[in-house]
Amino acid sequence: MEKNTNLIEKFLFDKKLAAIADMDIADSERALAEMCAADPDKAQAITDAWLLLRGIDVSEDAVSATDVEASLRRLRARLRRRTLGRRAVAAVAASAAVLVVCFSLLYKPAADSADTSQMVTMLSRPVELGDSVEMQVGEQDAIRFGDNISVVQTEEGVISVNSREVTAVDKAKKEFVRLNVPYGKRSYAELPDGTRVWLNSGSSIVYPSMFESDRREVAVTGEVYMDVAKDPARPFFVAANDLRIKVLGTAFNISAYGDDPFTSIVLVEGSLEVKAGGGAKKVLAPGHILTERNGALDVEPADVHYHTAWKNGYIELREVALEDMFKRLSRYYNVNFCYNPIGSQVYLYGKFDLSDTLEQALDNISFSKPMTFTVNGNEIFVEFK
Amino acid sequence: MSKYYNEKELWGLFRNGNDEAFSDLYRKCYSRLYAYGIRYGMEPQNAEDAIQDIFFRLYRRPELVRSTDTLIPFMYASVRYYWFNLLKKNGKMDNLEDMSAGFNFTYTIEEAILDREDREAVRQRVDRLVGCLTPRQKEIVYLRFFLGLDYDGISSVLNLSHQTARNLLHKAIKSLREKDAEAIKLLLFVATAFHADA
Repeated sequence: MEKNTNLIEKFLFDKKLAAIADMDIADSERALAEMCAADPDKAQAITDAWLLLRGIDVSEDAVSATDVEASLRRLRARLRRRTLGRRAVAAVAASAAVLVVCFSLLYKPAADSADTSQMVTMLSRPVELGDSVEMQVGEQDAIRFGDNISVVQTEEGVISVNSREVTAVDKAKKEFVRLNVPYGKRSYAELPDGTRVWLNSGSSIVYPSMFESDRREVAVTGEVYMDVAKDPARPFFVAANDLRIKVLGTAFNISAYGDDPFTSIVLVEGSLEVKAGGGAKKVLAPGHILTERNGALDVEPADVHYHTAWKNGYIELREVALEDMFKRLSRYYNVNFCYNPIGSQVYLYGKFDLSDTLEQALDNISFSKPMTFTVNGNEIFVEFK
Repeated sequence: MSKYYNEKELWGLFRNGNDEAFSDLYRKCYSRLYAYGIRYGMEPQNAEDAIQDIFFRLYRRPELVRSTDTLIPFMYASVRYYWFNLLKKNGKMDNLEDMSAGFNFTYTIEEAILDREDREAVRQRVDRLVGCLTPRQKEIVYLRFFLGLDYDGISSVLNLSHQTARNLLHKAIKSLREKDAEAIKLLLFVATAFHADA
């Protein structure tokens, strides 16, 4: 009997038998008989295992076919709405493209304003950051800070860092303020109009020391969360990589890292108009994410909380590929992960507290996925168990 | 159509442009995904929302499923994470590890196989045995025996390594044996009861 039990256990794990047990009863019985005939010594064990696989059922929770059909109809309706919406957008986009072509014969294409193009140029110049957060006001010497900072600039042009006045802008001339946050740090800035900006690791912002009377313009790279002060008389414009965003008092998250193949914007509240370098244009509604890849814009519903969690001091991973997790962690902790690529099937879910030390973070990962880390300066060698 | 194709084949047909195969896949998977959600304590409406959410994503972004082998584990894992995220949002759970504790392992004995009297006796016996399992072991036994997932599937649903899943299952079977040597093991009993009857 004991021997037979082991055999049954073996057949319970048999892929072929599992597939047979899954068939309709008539097919299943026929296939079972064939399998037994092919291996008559073990026919008893095979039959027992088949009975086990078939005999216990989750039918108590089963849903009636009518309910499933109703649910399927609801899903199909959702999918149709979605597809229709996309078709309509495509049609509008196509006619817009025709218009653009016609007008471009008559007019020069609209270009960035002088301020925006200067700020974008400033951001495109790389800076050697090391470990310090850096602030530069006009032509003054850059000021470096060893820790995360909180910058506030009043309307009068006085700039405080961590609640202490450090400098002031020269109101006699137009200049730009630049803030660079290296990997491993995060910072916060309040602009002269009251707009609040959270800068994630590896991010920069440039803004004029004084906004114009009819518009407010800034340029960013990396990842920033912005809560734009309402001022209908002075629309707010953000340049992020190839995207130009027009804002009318709203909160949103931009992710525009140079080493990501896309730029994305998540709108928390208000409304945004986004233009890509190639001319594509979209209006974004709250609770949606816009992703730009190679000039194409795609809008999808998004979990706002998930995309802005970093601002509240933690990051969440949901179905994130291993290499993407390493990329994100390397930004937060300013380290490099070295590892031999493994199968692409590893996905992670979890939550990291950004106030954790690197060691704590690594500990958390090795808890959920079997791997070991060897830290050597900024290099972390990963070994999968 | 669903009669003749399994889930993987339906998925393949859908990926090749057969839209009706997608509906059949929905019909085929709905009950099991629903049952799985209910086992974690989901309300019926949550369970439907979760399934709709999964299939909506599968339709819009089929590339989420890397290979047909991962389709089924992907769906079960999605139900589990959907519920976890909902619980977390409502402040009822912080840690994914705690999900196992809420897993309620119940089942019926298929009527076609046992008559009423035996079913009750078998059920009591099996209940007692299953009561000896840890929550994590219950999840694994359920996925392996009742949903027919292999170790890779189990480990991706529960976010474990392949080896951990294997060890936990062996431990579960071993502890079932130790707890009730006479009955030999959990499910075998069902089969012997059937034979005695037949």
